[in-house]
Amino acid sequence: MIHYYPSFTRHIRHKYIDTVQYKLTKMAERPEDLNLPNAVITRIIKDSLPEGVAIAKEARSAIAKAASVFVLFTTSSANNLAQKNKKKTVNAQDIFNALTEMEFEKFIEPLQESLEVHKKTQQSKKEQKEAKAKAKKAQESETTGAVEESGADNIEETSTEDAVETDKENGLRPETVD
Amino acid sequence: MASPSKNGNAKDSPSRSSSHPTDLVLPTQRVKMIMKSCPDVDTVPQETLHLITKCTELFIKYLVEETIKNAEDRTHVDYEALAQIVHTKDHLEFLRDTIPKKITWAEARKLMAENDNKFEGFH
Repeated sequence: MIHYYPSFTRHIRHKYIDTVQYKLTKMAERPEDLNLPNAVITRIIKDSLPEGVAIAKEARSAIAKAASVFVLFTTSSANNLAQKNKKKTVNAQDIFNALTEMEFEKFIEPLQESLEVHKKTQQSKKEQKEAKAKAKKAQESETTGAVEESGADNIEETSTEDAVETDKENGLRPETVD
Repeated sequence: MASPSKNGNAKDSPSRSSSHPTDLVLPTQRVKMIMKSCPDVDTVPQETLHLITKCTELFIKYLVEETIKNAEDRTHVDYEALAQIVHTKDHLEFLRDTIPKKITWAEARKLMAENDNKFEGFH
C-alpha cells in the first residue's frame, strides 16, 4: 500500500507541474499555436459551403490557424486604439474602429445585430433568474407555513416507515424530501 | 446559423459552458485565452469577448466563401485556392506567413541557393 501512495502523489505532482508548464508555454509560445477546436471550425466551414462541397484537411487546418491569427490581429489593433484614447480595456467601439482600419467594415453591421441579440438574451436571462428566485421564495414561505400546522400532530409517526404515506394523504409535497 | 434551442444540450452548442445558450458557436473561453496571450491585454469585458468571437466566425465564413468563389473547380476547397486568396486580397495580408504559398522543393532549393545567408533558419 505504501508503495502505491508515493507514485500517486508523484502523479499528482507531475500533473500539477505539467499544467503549470502547459500554462507557461501556452503564454510564451508562438501566439498562433493557441488553436481553436477543429470540430467547431469544421462545422462553421460546412455551414458556409454549398451542399456537397468538400474541404481538404490541409485547408481546414490552415483556416483554423488563420482564425486564431485573426483573433490576435483584431484584438491587438483594437487594443492599440483603446490605449490611444488612454483606456485600459477594449470596448465595442474600439473593435468596430479596428475592423474599419483592417478593411473588414462589412462585419460591423452583423456584429451590432449579434450584440443586440446578446444583450437581449442577457437581459431576459437576468429577468428569468429574478422571477425564479421570487417564485421560489414565495413557494418556500407557503410550504414552511403549511408544515408548521401539520407538523405538530404527525411528529410521532415520522419515525415509522409509513411516514411518506401520511404525507401523501394530507397532500403535502415538501420540496426538501428526496 | 441555426440558433440553438433554449435547452440546447452541450453537444450542439459548445459555448453552453458559458452558462447560457448564445448565438455563438466558437467556445468563448478559448477565444479569451487567445486574446489574453496578446501583450498588455489583461481584462476582457464580456461584450468585447462576444464581439471578437462572433467576428471570428464571420471571418471564417468570409474566408471560405471567398476561396470557393474564385476557385476554378468548385467541387472542393483546397489549400492552393486558399493561399491564392490570401496572397491576392490585400486585407488578408496579415495571413501571408500563416498561409504561405506552396513552392516545390526544386524552387525552394533554387531560392536557397540564391539567398544562402537569408535562409539560415529555413532547413
